[in-house]
Order: sequence, then C-alpha cells, then structure tokens
Amino acid sequence: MTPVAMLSGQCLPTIDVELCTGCGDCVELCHAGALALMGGKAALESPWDCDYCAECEGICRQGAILCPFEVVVERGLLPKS
Amino acid sequence: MLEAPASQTVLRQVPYFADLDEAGLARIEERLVERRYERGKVVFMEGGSCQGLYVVRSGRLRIFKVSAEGREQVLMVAGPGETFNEVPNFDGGTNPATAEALEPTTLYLLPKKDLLSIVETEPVVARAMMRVFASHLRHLTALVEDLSFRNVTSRVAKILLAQVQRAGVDADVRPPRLTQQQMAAMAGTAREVVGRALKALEQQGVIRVERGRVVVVSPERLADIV
Repeated sequence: MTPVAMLSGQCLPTIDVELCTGCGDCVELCHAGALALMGGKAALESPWDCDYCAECEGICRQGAILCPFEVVVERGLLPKS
Repeated sequence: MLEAPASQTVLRQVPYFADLDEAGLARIEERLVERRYERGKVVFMEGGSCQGLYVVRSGRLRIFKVSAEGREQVLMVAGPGETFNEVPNFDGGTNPATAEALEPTTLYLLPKKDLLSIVETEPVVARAMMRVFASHLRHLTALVEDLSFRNVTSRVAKILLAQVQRAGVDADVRPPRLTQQQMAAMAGTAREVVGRALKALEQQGVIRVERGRVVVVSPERLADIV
C-alpha cells in the first residue's frame, strides 16, 4: 500500500530514507523551498511550505519520494460501469 | 501443533507455491539456499549469469538498471514474500537488472537447475507459474493495445475511470491512492507526461487536481475520453 504522510490534515510527500542517496536533486528542484538535506538525506524541512506539486517525486531516480493521489468521484456522483 | 518453518511461511506467500501442500512445500524447501546480505551489498549484477529464482525472506532490495551514462533507474523494491529474477531462468538470458540490499536482507535462492526440475516434477507449480506469466502477458498485451490505439491522455483517463468504478462498485473499498509514477507505469509513459495529461483533463473540466486528490468531476465525460 502506498504510504501517506500528513500534517494538520494535509498530504505531504513521503521520503524513504533507505532509498534516498542524498543526491540533492529534489532539494534543488523544490520551488517552495520545503526540502533540504538533513543528515545526508532529503527531508521536508519546511512541510508547511510544500504545495504538493509532486515534482520531487519525478526528479528522484531512486523512487525514494512518493506523492500519492487519492482518486475519488465528486460528491454525489456515481460512475456508470 | 508445530509452527510451519519460517521458510514455508515465506514460500506460501509466493504465488508459484501457494497451491502446494505441506509435503510439496517441504520438497521446495530442501532445495533452497539461504543467503544473507548486509545493506549495500550487491546480490547480482545486470548482465551477469542467472543463478536462479530469489525469494525475499526478510529485508528489502532495490532492483535497478544503469544507463550507459551511469544514471540509475529503480524498477522495483522487493520485500518479504516477493520474488525476482524469474525471466532469465526460462529464456537462458542474463540477469536483466542489478539487485542490491537496502537493509540487512535474507534471501532464499532456488537454483536454476532446481527450479527447472521443480517445474517438471510439480505440475501445481508449473500451472501456477504459467498462470502468473499469462497474467503478465495479458497485462502487457493490453498495454500494447493502449499504446497503439490510445493517446496518453486517453490512457490516463482510462486508469482514473477504472479506479473510481472499482470503488463505486464496492463501498468497502477505500479510495485508491496512486502516485503519478505508478500511473505512468500503468500507462506505459513517463511521469512528467502523466502530469501534463492530468493538467489537460483538468483544463477540460473532467477532473480537478487537489492536494493529494484527483477528483473526477464528470465520470461520463471521462468515459467518453477513454
């Protein structure tokens, strides 16, 4: 199951420190300045600044960052099979 | 009542061996070679000769390929009960990727000659393997069809529609969570292309992308796009 991280009810990217190599690509890419290298690994230094653009997931070659999206139907609608 | 050996408990999780009785599992078990790897140790290299089928007893590994320029791409992360390196046992080729332990890991190796012998002597295993391979082949056939006849936006729409239809049928099913990387793998494209497809669907008013959620605003129009 895809892990989910939350802060005050808001979704956050999850970072697998075992997979992270500390290359810093995500830190350099993050336009919100939410990511930083801490202890040689990527971490959400300023999670409140994260806007969940999910670009960090794309830049990570190790698959260490996950930004899952829940797929739901607008309330009150039910798709026909 | 004695507990089943840890190895049999792990083997039961493997789809190839799930239909075997205890005697059958014991016959598999006696052919297993247990190997332990510290974090960072390489189990096998891409292009190397195939030793056999690996089953993860504990720990985690990353299976990855390296480009000519030295860039790595992780194909999968294998955990307890999962198998890897099936294909070269049967097509005689080399290891298609490199496997490296992410943490202290214990593996069971079923040597190639033993695996091939088991397939010949245990029809239950042979049928289970064919079932799994057939499922992979069906999935790839559907992917080829999608790649041939549908554009990326249509393929992403199909993925989203399938997710909400499944949840709509069974109220006990939690809304699925997919990363854009997972959607890309399902659609046979790159992650950034999925991002553009989602934006295109949003601009059409078919979906709305929120923080951590894709809200399907018009399932009917989504189905039309598929």
